[in-house]
Amino acid sequence: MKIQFFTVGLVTTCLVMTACVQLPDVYLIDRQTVMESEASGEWPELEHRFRQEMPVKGPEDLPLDQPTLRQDEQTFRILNGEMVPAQSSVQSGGGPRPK
Amino acid sequence: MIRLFPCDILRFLVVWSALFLLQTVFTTQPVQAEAVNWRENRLTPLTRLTVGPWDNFEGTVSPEDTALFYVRQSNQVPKIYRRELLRTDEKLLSSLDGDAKDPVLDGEGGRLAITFFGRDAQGDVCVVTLADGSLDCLTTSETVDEAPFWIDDDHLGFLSRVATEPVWQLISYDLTARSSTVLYRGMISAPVASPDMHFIFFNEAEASGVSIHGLDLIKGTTLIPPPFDLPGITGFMAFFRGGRDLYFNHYLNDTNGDQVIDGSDHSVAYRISVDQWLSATDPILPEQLTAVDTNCKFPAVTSSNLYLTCAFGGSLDIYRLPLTGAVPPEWIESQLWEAHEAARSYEERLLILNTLRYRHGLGGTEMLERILSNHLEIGELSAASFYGEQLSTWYKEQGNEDLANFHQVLNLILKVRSAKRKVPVGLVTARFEHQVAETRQKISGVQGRVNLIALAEAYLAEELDDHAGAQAALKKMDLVGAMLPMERYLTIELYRRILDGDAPAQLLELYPLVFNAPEMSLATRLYYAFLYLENLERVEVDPAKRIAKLGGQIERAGDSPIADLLRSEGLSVQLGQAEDQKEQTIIFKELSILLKANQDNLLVRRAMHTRAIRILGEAGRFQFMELLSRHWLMTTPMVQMEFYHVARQYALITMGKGYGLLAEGEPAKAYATFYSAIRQTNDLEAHYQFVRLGLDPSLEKRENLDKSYPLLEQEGLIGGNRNYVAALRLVIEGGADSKEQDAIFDKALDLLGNMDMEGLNPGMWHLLMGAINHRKLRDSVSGYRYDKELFQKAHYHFMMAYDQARGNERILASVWDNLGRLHFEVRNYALSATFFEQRMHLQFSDPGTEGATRWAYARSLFFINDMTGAQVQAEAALAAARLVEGTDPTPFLEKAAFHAMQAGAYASAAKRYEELLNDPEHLTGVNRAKALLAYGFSLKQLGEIGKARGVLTALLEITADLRGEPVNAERLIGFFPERLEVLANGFLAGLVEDPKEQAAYRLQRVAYWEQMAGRASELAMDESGLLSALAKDAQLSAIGLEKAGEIEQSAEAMDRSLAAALALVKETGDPNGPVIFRVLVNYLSMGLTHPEAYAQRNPARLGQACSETVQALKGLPYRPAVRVAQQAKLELLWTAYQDIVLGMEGDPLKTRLERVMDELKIKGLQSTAPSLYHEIIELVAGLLLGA
Repeated sequence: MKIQFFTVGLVTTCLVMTACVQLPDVYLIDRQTVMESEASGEWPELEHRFRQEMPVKGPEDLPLDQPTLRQDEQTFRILNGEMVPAQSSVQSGGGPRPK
Repeated sequence: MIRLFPCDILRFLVVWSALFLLQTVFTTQPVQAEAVNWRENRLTPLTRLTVGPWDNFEGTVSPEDTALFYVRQSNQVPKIYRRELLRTDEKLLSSLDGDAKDPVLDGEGGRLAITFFGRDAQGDVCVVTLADGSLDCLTTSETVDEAPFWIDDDHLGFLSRVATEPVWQLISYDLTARSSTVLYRGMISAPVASPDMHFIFFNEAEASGVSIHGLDLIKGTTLIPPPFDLPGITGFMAFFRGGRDLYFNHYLNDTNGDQVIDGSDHSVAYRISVDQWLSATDPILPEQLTAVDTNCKFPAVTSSNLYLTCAFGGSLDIYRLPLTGAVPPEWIESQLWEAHEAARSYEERLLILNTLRYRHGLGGTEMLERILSNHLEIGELSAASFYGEQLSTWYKEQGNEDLANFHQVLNLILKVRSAKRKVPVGLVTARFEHQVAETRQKISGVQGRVNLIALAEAYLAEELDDHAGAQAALKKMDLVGAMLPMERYLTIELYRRILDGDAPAQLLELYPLVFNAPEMSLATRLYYAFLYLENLERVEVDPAKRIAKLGGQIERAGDSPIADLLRSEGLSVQLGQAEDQKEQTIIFKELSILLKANQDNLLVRRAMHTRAIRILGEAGRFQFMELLSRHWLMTTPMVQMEFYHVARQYALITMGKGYGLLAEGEPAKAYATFYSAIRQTNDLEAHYQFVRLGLDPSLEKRENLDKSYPLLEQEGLIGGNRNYVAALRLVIEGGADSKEQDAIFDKALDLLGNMDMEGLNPGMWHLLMGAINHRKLRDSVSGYRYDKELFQKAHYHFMMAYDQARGNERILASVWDNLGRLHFEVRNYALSATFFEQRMHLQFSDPGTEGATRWAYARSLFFINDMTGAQVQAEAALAAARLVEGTDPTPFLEKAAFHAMQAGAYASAAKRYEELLNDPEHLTGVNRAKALLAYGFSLKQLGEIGKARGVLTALLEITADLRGEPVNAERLIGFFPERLEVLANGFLAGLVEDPKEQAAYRLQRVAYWEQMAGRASELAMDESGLLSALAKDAQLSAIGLEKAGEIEQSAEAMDRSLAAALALVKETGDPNGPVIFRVLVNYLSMGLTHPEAYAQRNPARLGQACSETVQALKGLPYRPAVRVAQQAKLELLWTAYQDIVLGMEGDPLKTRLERVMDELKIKGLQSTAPSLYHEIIELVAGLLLGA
């Protein structure tokens, strides 16, 4: 009885402890991160400003020259006509097909 | 100062009034109420469902159209993904632990059949039960198995073959009985079964080619259905679940020029009623569903939609269409012809013509001639041949020898042209020459007219790269008299090929022979007149001469729309040159009258407006350009399909004007311009700019903005876009704190999610969605953790914005920038760099934006080891930052220096660092220390010893004042000033020559390593790396001190080295690693050289270490000569150490050393490793000398 009680208590304690124990996050730091940390300056205000500006919600005001006519050539496209000889004909119902 | 007399004043007023009136007429036309939704009055566009940059293909969809399964190929690895179609998230089918493809859902949508490579590199057919992810593989590694398809709920079909044989078996697998039945054998592919379990169809390759074969499962017979009335071969097939329609893709033409029509060529989607098909006696025309330029295949069908994999827009992706395809089913014949006229590509025209043939039974030679023409225009020679052969036969039957012969000859030419594509560029092979000779022979047997024979000869000569011969043949042709339209077309096209590059001026004489030819259609005449005008612009730079040449052509053209086009051109050129405003007004009025006179003809209207807009745009006459754009809009009835394209051009030009005004510093005028774009086109981009400017406090337009939208709403001009506007306002106006912002983002997402999009530029909606999700993602970041769903959504929307931007560079610029930063933030550095690289192809709005983008791009490149690229971008960022008034360039200068140093460009780095560190106020604290370290290192690399020493010494003077920064959620590596000291000391040790000084620097490092032992992870090191560094530094110190005559201190340093090496052995569990071996050898050697200093230094510890290492070397399972030599060295040294340093009594040293040599059979090394043997012999000799 004592042994059973002890076993149950031990198991319960282990379960509780497991729930309390949190495994640490494991990170693999690359060389570049270390190099930046050691030899590259930190500019938090500038980085913060960049982050505030991005992401952009709309188009960028590019100073394009004649952008409209390059952007969408299809809109202004002129297609060649179809070369239909005067002697040809349209037939409904598919017409007789050549064998 | 301009002095104006009264008359001048009056004239001035008159001119400006006229101009104002004209503008008023063109700008205050009341907006027409919409009888037709012009935005939808066009071919149904494909709806993209997946986004790149990876390829996504082979989709299969659940019956309720809720879930899409597909293959994503990333880095050559195919995996199955699932996407919920009502949301944007997608997930890898993680229950599969291997590559997979060919996903097919069963009828209920509960099981997914796949070809799986996780257990067999040749592929197995398996079934995934979606509810629990369990995998059931039906085949073994003895066969190659693929292409699963469902026959019914209990039977799965697939292809199987033995690896060494080419012939496939078509298998039906009983899932309950776990048994297979072979249904068919052959060179088969792409099998599919009908839902009513009646048929299985597949492709079979035979000597005659590839064709569809079938099995009638009810009758138990094979069948060969009639061919389709199409060139090329069929690809993949899929049945409509609700009936007996078969959907398939068909490869019409050899689009990649390898002389074979196969799966590598562009594909078109079709459907056919199986009953009609199987009962046909002649080749049957199926219904075309997509245009060839969208290149769609792998159809999948539900009861409501057609899903296709299409290859355009940069990657393979899955798209959705209605079951009826891209041509709306309700269009009547007249609407189809209207769409044909409004089409902007030959591929679209082909789709419409084939729809006319299928739905309205239009046939005959005219339709085939039209189809042939379009195939020729897009270079689809084999498809053109197919129709040409039909025409030749048809005309023969009709007794029209002229046309029959013409098409016969044309087909021969097309075959030669097609064959030429296989020949390497610039070469004419003997085989090809032979083919041309054979063709000449055949043509000589045709009873053709002189023109036809000459044309054929010209083409054949040209294909043999004989340009002179081709021109000579062309000169034999009578181009003035009547010709067949196709004949004239082929002639002029050959002339273009020959002359366009080298002698374009000659074409100016030839184009009029087409655009004045009465047998040519108006569309063709306009096209060549257009080409003439483009050519004239290129050839004749002088506007006066250009106008004069036009005058001559106008006379020749007589009274025709062509003449009006030429007149319009002349007026546009004049208007572009006129400086006087009165003159401009007069010319513009004349131009307007001409345009009005031709406004009823869609093609003439298009040609005239397009040329005029281009010319005036190039001349910088933007006001007139915009007026003409508006005129084109106003003269195109809204009910016409053409209106969509005209609205697009108006939006482009008006938006361009708006941006131009912004660039000129006229935001208030830009605000008004964007408003007019909203009124006419409900363009989301215009909404964006209008709202953005309206909310800009400096413009004081807020009240106007608040009033404008209710009015627009009242007039029914914005529709569902009201939600976009509301969401945008919320996001721009933002919130006071992050909690409020979060609520704002959620509200904005809700508004955008419940929106019926209208108008132009739907990509803007995705851009805003992406931006909001990106901001939310950022808020979710904690250390390395982030919300992956938000990331996926942001990526998805940005990619959709790219897809729908349709070349709008302003939207693309934002998309690329956003994607670059998004992927950087989740550490997809390579993708981030790829997106930034795309951004670099576009301009920047201002140097500030450029600097920020290049800063970020430099960082991406740095993280993917492209150090040189990073340096280039950092320098460019610095240059841009220097152009921004009021910006401190120091951070950019620092980054330019850092990236130069990383790239090994030490001279550049040193220069930048010198500039940076010049002013002590410029750079302080940690940044100054890091800059000094990097500068010192750069100088060291350049060999500037004295300067380097000075800089590094200066660093050591300031590190004591620096504070460390611990690791936290935002800082993933702690900052320790001591680390800079360690590095500086190491560099300094390499710069000084005095061994005592060197040792002093190294001992500083040793002290630091000892302090950090057990805490290596704080420095982003591992413990073994730290201990190795400690041991190495201690040894180097010992050597230096020994050279300086400081023997006791040297021995002390060796002790520390030994302690570190032993700690390393404990850390790694490796007692015979290189570090412990080297330390022991050095320790023993040093001890033997200075026995007095080492005699009392913990011999027990040393002895145990030597013993353990020797035992480890002895116990190695494989002992090459070098290991035997290592053991020998150690044992010999230890034996001598015991004798000489510790004074151990016993046999003479010589005997003991010889005993070691014998035990280890060192003599054997004399033949197997003589250099090692001699090394040991010399060691023994040296030890005996010292004894």
